[in-house]
Amino acid sequence: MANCLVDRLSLSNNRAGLTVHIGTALGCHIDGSQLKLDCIEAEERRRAWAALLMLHTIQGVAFGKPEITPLYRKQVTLPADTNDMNILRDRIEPAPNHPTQMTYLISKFRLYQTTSNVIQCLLDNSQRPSERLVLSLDLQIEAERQKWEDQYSHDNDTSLLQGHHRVQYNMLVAYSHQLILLLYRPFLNDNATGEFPERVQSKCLSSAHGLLEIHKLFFEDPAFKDFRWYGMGLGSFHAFHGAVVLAAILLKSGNSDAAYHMNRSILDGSIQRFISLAERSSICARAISVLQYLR
Amino acid sequence: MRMQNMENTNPSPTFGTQSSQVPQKRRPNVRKPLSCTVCRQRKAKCNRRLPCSACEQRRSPHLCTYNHGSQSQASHVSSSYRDSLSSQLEGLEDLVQRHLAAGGPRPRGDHGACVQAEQFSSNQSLAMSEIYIQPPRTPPSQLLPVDENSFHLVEPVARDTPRSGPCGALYSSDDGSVEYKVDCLHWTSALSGRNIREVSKAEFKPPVNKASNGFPFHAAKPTSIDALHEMIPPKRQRDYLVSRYFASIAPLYHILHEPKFCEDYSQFCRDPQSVPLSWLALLYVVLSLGASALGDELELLGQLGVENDRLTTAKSLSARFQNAAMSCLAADQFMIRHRLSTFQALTMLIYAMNNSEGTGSTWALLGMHGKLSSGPSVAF
Repeated sequence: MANCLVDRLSLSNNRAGLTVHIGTALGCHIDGSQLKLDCIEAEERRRAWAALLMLHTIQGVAFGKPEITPLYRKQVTLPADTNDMNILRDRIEPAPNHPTQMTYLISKFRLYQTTSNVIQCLLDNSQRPSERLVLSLDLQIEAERQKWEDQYSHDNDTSLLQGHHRVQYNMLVAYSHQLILLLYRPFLNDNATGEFPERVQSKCLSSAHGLLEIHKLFFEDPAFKDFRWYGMGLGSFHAFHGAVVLAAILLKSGNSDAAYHMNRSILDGSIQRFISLAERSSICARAISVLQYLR
Repeated sequence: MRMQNMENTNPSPTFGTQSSQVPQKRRPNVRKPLSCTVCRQRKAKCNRRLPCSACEQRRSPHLCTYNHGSQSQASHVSSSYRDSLSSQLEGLEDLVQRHLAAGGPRPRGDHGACVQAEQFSSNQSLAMSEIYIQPPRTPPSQLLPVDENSFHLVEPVARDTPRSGPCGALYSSDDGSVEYKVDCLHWTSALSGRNIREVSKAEFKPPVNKASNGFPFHAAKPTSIDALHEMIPPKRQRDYLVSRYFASIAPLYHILHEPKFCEDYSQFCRDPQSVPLSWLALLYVVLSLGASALGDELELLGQLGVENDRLTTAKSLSARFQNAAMSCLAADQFMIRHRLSTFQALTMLIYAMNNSEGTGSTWALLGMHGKLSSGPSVAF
């Protein structure tokens, strides 16, 4: 089965490679400002190029090749963080307030730099990464989160966000949770005690909770209704990751304290949600048997 | 001859240290500098390549030089080389001017208009140092804080920042396809005035292999233009799917400029035959993504779908539009002719395919597979 999946992924990867070459033939690897284009076309080129590089990075990561090839070390300006209506043929105006239509894509693009570093750290170390390296990457992720808060919050309060901005913010946070889980995974099964192992435990636990909480929002919060397609796809995969980590922590810990019961009920709730989505989401359908086994 | 010249002046780091002629008389052992001149002046670490990484990072590879051997010898060689370069440059500039006077190809200017010949000429007569393709200079504060091995796009800067001259330009052909050409590689200019007849574009058409145009997409059958339009749904449903795209997909993958797309879309509604095939492909991708975000809109699905089961309908509808987009791209010969809409359609098509059930779950499942077999995995 794995071979079949890799085949299909590599087809997608080939398409992305082909598209990179077509983009290069069109001059998208050169910033539009150097090509005497009107601002709208220059901006469309920047967006498509950034979006394609993102797809390429994702697939590189999936193949265990997170480093970016020299092909992409080109100087293309990131798309402007502004709204479509502020991009005119002859000029680009700054957006009156944030977040803009582009904030999410740009934030995600930045996060991919960090993703690349995290994956590289995990792949480079045949044993396991040093605690110092892990903590510095943790700080990088935290710095990204801080940027999103600055971009998205109104009066320093992200709970006031409305509509799709709230969805975007939560999706970014979900990505960062997944990165934290990946980063600390090599240490999660340690039985040692001390400051670092405790940090691993609490970081993983809070990210797992975070992922399951966000997954719940997709199906219970009206603002997320338009984005259920995402919740049933990648959103469910993130939630599955969170649920597996939560199950692993439960297997490790004693089953008497209050925290155990709370975590247990969160896990059960997520399994119930996976069951209810199984008909519409193949990821959920596959996740159920794994989670029920781990439980 | 030129190669020889190059070799003589090529200051490879080992060149100065491994002398092939053993000196007869042992001179006092003066330590020769191994780092490049700039790094020595800056007291910076130099990896002793040509150009060295430090000079590359400073975006001034042309300044990276090595001073091996005695001073007088070095200056003697480089001045002769410099002379030969400047005479070559003069010859080339002369050829470019003559070529322009004869009416060579012009790059595309603002809004697709041709720029003035004088402007082109000033771009062409680049100083020798500019023949290195130099990326625009960006203050370090605008670079992303990533290590030098990872790629980076530059943070948005003020759009009116003057940049170094373009190293290439866009050329559009009669059929609307666009191509980027690097100016300093145009050897056609070297042919003008030499009694060699210029081969016109019409005479030099690349052979087209119809069977392979669809690769790697499955669209071997040549499709007529009418057949490509047939798959477009009626206006009401089409408008709905486009609006679903902008409500559910665009916030997460904002690639298109909405007002411009809407402008093109209303043009399409007025006269469907007037839009290029690559734009039609883009429309199909938008419809496919819109369909993939459909939830419980039974009424719409009932009018469009063939199956009774609404889940299968939404999926098959999305897949059908994806196939239509591929057919359009193949019919447009996207492997050899491209417009920006070709590139947008392809990028969004990959996104659509990865998100649709099936291939989308493969990424996630691939991650899952890696996860379970204890390798690091991520799926974004």
